[in-house]
Amino acid sequence: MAQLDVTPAKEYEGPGATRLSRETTHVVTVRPTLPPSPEATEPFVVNFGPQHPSMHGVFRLQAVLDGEKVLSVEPFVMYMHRNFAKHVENKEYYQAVPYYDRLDYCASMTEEWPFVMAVEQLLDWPVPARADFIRVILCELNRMASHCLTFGTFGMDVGAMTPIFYTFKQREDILDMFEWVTGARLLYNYFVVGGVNQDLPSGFADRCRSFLDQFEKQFLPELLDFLIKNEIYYERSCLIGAMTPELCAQYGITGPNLRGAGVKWDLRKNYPYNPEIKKGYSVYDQFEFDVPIGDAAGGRGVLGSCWDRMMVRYHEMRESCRIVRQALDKLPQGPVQHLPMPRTVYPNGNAYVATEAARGELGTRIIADGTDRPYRAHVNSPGFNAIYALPDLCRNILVADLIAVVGSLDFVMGEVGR
Amino acid sequence: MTDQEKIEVPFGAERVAKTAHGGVVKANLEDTLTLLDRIKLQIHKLIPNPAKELIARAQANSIWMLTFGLACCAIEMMATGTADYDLDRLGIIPRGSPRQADLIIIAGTLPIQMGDQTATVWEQMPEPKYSIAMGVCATDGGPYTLYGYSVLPGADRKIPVNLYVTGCPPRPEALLNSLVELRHMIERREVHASRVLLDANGKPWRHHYVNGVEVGQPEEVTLKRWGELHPKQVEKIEWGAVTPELGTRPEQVELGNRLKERFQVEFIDNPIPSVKLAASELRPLCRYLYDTEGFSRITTVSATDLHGRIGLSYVIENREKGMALALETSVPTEQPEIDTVSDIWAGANSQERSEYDMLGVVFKGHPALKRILLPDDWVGHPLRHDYAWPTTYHGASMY
Repeated sequence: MAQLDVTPAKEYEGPGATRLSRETTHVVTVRPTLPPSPEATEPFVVNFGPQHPSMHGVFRLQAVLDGEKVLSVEPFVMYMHRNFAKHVENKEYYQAVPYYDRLDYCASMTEEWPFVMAVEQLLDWPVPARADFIRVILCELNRMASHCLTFGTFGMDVGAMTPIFYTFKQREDILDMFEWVTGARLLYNYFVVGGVNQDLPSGFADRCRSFLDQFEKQFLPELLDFLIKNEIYYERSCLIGAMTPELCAQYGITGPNLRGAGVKWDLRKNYPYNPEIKKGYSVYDQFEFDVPIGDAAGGRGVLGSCWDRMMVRYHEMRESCRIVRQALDKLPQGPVQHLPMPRTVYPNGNAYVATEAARGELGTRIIADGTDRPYRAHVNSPGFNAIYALPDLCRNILVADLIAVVGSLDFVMGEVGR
Repeated sequence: MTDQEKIEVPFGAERVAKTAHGGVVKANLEDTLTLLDRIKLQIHKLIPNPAKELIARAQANSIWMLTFGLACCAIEMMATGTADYDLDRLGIIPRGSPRQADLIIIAGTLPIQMGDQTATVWEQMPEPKYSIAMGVCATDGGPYTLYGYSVLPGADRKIPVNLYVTGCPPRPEALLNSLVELRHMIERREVHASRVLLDANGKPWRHHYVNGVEVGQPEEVTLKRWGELHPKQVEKIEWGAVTPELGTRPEQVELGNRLKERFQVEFIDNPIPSVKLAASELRPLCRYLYDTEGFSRITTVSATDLHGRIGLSYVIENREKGMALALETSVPTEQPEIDTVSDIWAGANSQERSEYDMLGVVFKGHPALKRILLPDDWVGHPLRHDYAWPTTYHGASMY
């Protein structure tokens, strides 16, 4: 068992040092220190990316290494800037929804939701109950699919080649259901301002329930057995990348990263963005579900480590199953759009809405000027905040651990580079 | 006597020609062919070049692809590679290094910053190499063409492309179809002839020769493909009425009273309680809110071009009380300077850089105010409504 060396990480000030972050005293180093090498060494700069085999999209980490030890990193995210804001400013509100899809392409419907909620707030439109329940069902299924992908890719980052096949098989089942409902596998364009595009097909509830049975009873225990209870996975993740709650608050980190650090904060339960809505948003207050938080691997690891974040995602998949079952049971009849649905909408005003996307809190600010196109659309994504915590998080760790930390933060470059 | 004619018949003609001493060979060649010769002739008609056929089959059955997943199409590429639509059964495995790969699948949008990197990666791949442009973004820019100031309209502006796959993203079956088509192209040895590379005007790239000497590509970009921008009406925005109290809940009202005692603020009726103040008051207010009121988290820093002023909006959060607050301020466009809050909340660091990049707001006191979403040598601030759209960047054209 490794010795826990809990000392504040010293900031590297040599050539290539980054000055992006302030002096931090709340990052802990928990690796045994490397023995001093007999030869003289000097640090060198290596670029991880923008093309690299670790499947996190195009971003560049300029790392200053001393042998295998990372002294400092600087992230560059300019490689996926797709002019999202300019496009949304010049397209009608219904045409802008696909651009929100393509932000976090692993869990698209969770990205569409804040936009349609913001426009509904500006128009003062109530969403029909059936549409709200359908939104919840599909977003939770999207969350499960996205976490499956995260487990697959994190497994590959720590060296396990097999889990990705199992998790992608589950993803295929979910994506088949999405194709049945929305018409698309990955980028759905399903939410509209005032509801959803079309109703669920008949038979969806049965198919969904049988999928959830298989998922909960067969796949999740399987994932536990072949990946999470694996000694190598445990050793590679339970001691590294420790984030304290103060670090998360400073950088605005949300989602499973924040909950892995032990903070019980989930927008589906604690919602400060609208004074009328005190408990969650949409219809989440009608469901019983827990919010999993990290527990330092049962006391054997460090709180806020990669293990904690991934276990939060594992338990979130289970909680999503619970939510979907309850939603299917309580699904009301009725329209799925705010009727009458006009050809286009003309909102006016200034709204900021954030929802709990699969990777954290995705917030969007819409300024509308009464025409059929937004005046300004700004998105703040969870990945953006997580990436810029990397310089503080990656001091004095090994290169292999750097890859594992980057994988466990689970950001997607579509939403970071916008 | 006529000269001995050289008869161009394979497999056996030599024997016939040599046995004729002078004179004209009048033999009917069909009769002179032995059975073995006839079999060889038929095989030759079917497979003219057996060694090359074998090599082509070997290449087609073992294409090693480079993992060049850029955006959404990368997820479908991964899905094609895993369980339901296996790629390994076609002999296609992913390789990390371009020096060990035959095929590059450009899966995703190519922003202009990525163009040079893509060209470098292509040059690092050894011949024979193939490329597939997966998805509409790699084909012609996709949904990002119309108002994209920094998106390359297709991968074929930078590297030659053999195959295009449509879809946003293409289904795994579509990608498999394209890979099967690529195999056929390799087996028929049509690969090099099918490569398409476009120049800055979107026309097929050709060598240009003047008096036998190669000259450069045409530099003038003549094709315009951007859409017209929608006119913005800043005077019609309904910002919300000024209210005497901040929000509706008691703790919000009390906070509002405390703020009114100390600072020169106005409260606006928005879904999130909003505080409107002058730019010079922002930093002291943030310092107060962080130190005394417990607003430990900054959610968003966003700027807007208000035609003469640049509006700024900061959304901050107090988790213990479950409160969110929006701070609205504005700076003049000619001198868009405001004090930074990145030493109060570290998360504001990257967000302020992003607003500097997009709208040109200068945050005084920021430790490293440089561009974040665009390269350092980009000119202009794109989200301003009077942005001058560039035509090229480092020789690549966005048209």
